[in-house]
Amino acid sequence: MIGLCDMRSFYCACEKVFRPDIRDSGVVVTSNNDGVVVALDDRAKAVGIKKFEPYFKQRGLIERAGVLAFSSNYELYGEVSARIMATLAELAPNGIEVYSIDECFVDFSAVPRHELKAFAAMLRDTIWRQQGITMGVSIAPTKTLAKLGQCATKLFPQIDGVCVLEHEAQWQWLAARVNVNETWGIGRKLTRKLRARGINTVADLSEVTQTDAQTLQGITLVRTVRELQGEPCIDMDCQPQPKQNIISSRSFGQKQTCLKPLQEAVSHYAVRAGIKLRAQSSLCFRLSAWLQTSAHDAKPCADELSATLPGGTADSRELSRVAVALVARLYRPGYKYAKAGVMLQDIRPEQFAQQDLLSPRSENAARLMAVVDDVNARFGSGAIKLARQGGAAGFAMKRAMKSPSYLTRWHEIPHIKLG
Amino acid sequence: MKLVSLSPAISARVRTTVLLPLYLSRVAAGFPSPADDYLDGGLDLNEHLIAHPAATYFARAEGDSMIDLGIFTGDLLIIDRAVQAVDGDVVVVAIDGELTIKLLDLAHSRLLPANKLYRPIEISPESQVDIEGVVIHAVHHVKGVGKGVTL
Repeated sequence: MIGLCDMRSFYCACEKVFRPDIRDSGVVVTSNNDGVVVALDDRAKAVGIKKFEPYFKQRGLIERAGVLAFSSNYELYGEVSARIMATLAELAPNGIEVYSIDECFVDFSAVPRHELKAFAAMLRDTIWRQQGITMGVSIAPTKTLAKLGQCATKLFPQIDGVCVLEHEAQWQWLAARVNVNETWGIGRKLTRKLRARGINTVADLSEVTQTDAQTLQGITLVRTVRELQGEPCIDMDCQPQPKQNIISSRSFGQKQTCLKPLQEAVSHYAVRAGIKLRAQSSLCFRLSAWLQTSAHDAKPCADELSATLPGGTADSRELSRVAVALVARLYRPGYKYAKAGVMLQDIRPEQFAQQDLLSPRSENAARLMAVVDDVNARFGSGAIKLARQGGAAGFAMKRAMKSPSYLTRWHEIPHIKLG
Repeated sequence: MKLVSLSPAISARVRTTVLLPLYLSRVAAGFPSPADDYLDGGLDLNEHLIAHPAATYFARAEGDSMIDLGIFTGDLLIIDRAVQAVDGDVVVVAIDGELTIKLLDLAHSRLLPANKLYRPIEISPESQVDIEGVVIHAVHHVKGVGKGVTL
């Protein structure tokens, strides 16, 4: 059996951990630069606030309803998530597969059938007590059915966040009550296609024949249908695969028209991507950079260029140098750039990468980067940075409503009144 | 000396970086120090102070209601959410929407301050007290405290 652990309204819940005063309030979290609402809890939903709608349009509603708005605090969410995953990994007998910042699959095959419910409840209670986060646990023979089980934990509060789908009759009953678009891996486009053929519920989907599934979308849908019938087709993957691409990209706090600040920005993104690259002990052999204006701009444009890195590198200085050179070629005066980004491609594990005779990798560079990463980990990212990254204030994201990074910065830890 | 990072593989990130002596004696010439074989690898303060890294958080104490138990304003509190609180423990509780710190006395249904200027808080059976962690250590800064003090 496979379990899915899902943190309820995760970003909003993180905001409440150190704030008992707001635990009964509705909370929304806004995106980078406070553009759109990216997360909201049930209370915020109940007053009609919508996810992915612009924040400024909903601000009146948010304030009138007494809902609290926070800028996204990824330092906090990332740390709480890492702690939850570490706790679950320790408790799960056969390991976990981290699926996203607020979800993971748990292998329950070693847990006897009659203990499944109690074990799931123990996981839920432990996370609540140790992390202050509400978690739903659903267990089923396949990942897709486990995902379906999460719908039950949301639809029926009386089951207290634990749903075990053991028998076909159980999941069929639930599948008939859940819309097809809630199925794991079914996107908006495919939902429309399915609806057009009269497939409205998850139960309808589970009855699609293999040939029909094949013609509708191909092998992935065939697998989904078989998983909905209780046949495991998607394995647990407890070993995280190194990422194939690493993207670092941001919208600017204000539009940019000059080359130098754009170069500082991409240099900064290249350095951030480099940190991720080194964290997975890999090298990248290709780097691309792009610049774009807002899509609504009077003179819109979006350009991208890439360069190969012979021999591969994980050296921030090299990544930054290439990114800056690419942007110099991309840049055209007269455009108001709203966003830039860097993507590392052709990523290979360091230990298998061939040395290039003409551009040997330097041991010193690797050692230097290790020291830089260490110092930045200890004293905050940016403690050591390249001169090229600059410090232009216009680039800092607008995060006007950000809560303290309670768990990751010394001067932002909670203060407790002893009175 | 060499900088060695001991960050645990799972990112229960109460970060640990300590200075470890790599060699006690110079290697260049002559006899190696007889102590080299007995190197222990240094002491890790995190290991000493934190039993459950993934369930531990830090907070700063502000106020004097716990001074009789040795917790002073400005102290760094190390709080564990994984251990079960029992009577006699100093706990973090949420009262009236605010986090505070009291001595747990469930036997008498109350939360106690450790300063005579403050009153105990009775816990009525219908009220709910959420314990948000047990204070395991209070780290008190001592350097310079004697300045201007006559003893």
